[in-house]
Amino acid sequence: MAFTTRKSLLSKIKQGDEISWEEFYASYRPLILLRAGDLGLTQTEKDDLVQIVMSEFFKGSRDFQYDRGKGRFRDYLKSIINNQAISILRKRKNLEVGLDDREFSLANGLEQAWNDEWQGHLLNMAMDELKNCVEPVTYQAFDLYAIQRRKSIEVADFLDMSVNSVYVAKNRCLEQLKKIIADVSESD
Amino acid sequence: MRHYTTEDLDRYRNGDMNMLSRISCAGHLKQCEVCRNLLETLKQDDILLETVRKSIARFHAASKEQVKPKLASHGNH
Ligand SMILES: [Zn+2]
Repeated sequence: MAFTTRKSLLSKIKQGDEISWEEFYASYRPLILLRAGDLGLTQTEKDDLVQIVMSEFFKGSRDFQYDRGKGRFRDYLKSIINNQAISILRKRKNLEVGLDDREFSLANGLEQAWNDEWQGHLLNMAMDELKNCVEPVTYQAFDLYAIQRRKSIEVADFLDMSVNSVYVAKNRCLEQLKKIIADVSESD
Repeated sequence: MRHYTTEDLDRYRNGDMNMLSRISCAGHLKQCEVCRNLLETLKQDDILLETVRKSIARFHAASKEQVKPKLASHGNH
């Protein structure tokens, strides 16, 4: 009953496949915004940062391919976000203190914050991937019971299945989710 | 000895078993390490799920942040 058809975005990046602007934007905008918040950018600056980072990757094209020669994608992405955020901060008239990428990464627990955000990003991508790997009704039972925390009996009634089947769905999805997490963590 | 399934233990810990089954399961767990380990795995799964729920909520909130129109800098008074 495998539904695995779509490659994960991280697999595509790893294998140098073409990534569309829309796919990248949908997946990475929240991560860039969270990082921008850590770096102290205002709402307007955050929006600017998302656009600039997108432009850095796509260079006016609708697609881009990641060159693995640039190292780990997560490090490359962090470096681009940091560098562009520094540029934005330097535009503020009253900024007198010099900033560089290294200071940025080490200061105020920013490195740990980035690691946490990256892990959160991977979990979100893993959940997206899960949707493509299991039957829709199995995913729905998992989502309602394990993610939205509805009562098992309510989910069973709603989906017209037994309580035991709700737990079967939950455990099947969890097993699959752990595999996906292991896979995306390896390929980041 | 027949071991309990993952779903049996889910029903046990969530109060979805009748009284007799529950007493029987509790007795089994006292003497069966295999089922105790399985129950422990379910608790670890709960921790993973909690992390997943928090990540989803955090990223969902970030994805809902609206791009603001840049009118403020032109003054509005
Ligand atoms: Zn047992």
